[in-house]
Amino acid sequence: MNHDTLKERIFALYDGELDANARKEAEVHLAACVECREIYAGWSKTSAALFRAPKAEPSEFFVRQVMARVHELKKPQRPAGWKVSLRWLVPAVGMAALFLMVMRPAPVYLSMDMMLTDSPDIHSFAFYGDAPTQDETLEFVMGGSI
Amino acid sequence: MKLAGVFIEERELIEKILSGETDAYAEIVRTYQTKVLGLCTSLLGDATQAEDAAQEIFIKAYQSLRSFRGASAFSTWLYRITANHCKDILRKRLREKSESLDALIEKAGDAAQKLWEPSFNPGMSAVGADLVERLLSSLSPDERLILTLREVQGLSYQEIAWTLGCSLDAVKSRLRRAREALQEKGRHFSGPKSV
Repeated sequence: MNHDTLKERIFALYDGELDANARKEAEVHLAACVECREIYAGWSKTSAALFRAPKAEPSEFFVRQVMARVHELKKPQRPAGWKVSLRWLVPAVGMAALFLMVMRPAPVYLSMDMMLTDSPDIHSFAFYGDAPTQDETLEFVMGGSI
Repeated sequence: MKLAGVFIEERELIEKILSGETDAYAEIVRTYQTKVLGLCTSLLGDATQAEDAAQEIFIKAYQSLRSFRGASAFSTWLYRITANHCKDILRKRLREKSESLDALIEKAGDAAQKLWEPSFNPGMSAVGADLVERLLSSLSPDERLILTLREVQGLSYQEIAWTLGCSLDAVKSRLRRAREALQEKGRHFSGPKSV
């Protein structure tokens, strides 16, 4: 491991976050490199001087204080704006909307080709009466020039 | 790392609370009070303020318990609430007028030099404890938080990433920057050779 690489990893070494191989390599480099050793030792010193775990003792008085406030609050809050009794309405309205969309009859658009076919169903739907013959239809379309 | 059984017990406890057994929350407070209070004390320095903050954090956690989905450990979720709450307090403090580092060093006199001596124990002297607190207060809330999570609470990089909601690479780079910032400030106290 070269000097620049170790310098990048020196805090990871200090924190015990390197895997076994990387740690071994780092330790070998550290033994031989004065600059890296100084960085490592400098941080050890700073950490020891400034960071000490405070003593926090468990306290039943603290638990009682918190619980007294919790009882004032009653239940954990639900997301704002939701009323319990009306919550069922959301899926119900959604399902109803979906049902209406699915069940609605699809619109029928008649093209000229469809009008000219022999299908009696389409003719009867389009004209609500007896289907014209093909000649009658062509005459109607061409303006009586046939 | 907790066993799966413990997570299940915790999950069941939370379900109980959510179904209306409010008193079950006392077990949560009992289990995590030292962790939360410890982190608050480390971050805020002042014991009274830390206790008030810890109380607020447990109330906040209770109120938002329904939003805990179990994607992370409950302790990580609670740590996240703690970290955010304390960061807000530290930010408010920053807005208040504070003494400059140079003025502080001058006022501390010899005590500043003694900070880095192996025999130094900030708990043994009010001046020393005050000095440490003021030095840490000169860091940004984010720097102080990440250093405390690592140096005092002993969280792994992965646990810090979960707590802060960031990537492992971000943890590494933020931690490194925070350490460099603190060492730079520390040089004012002890001279360039000492730190």
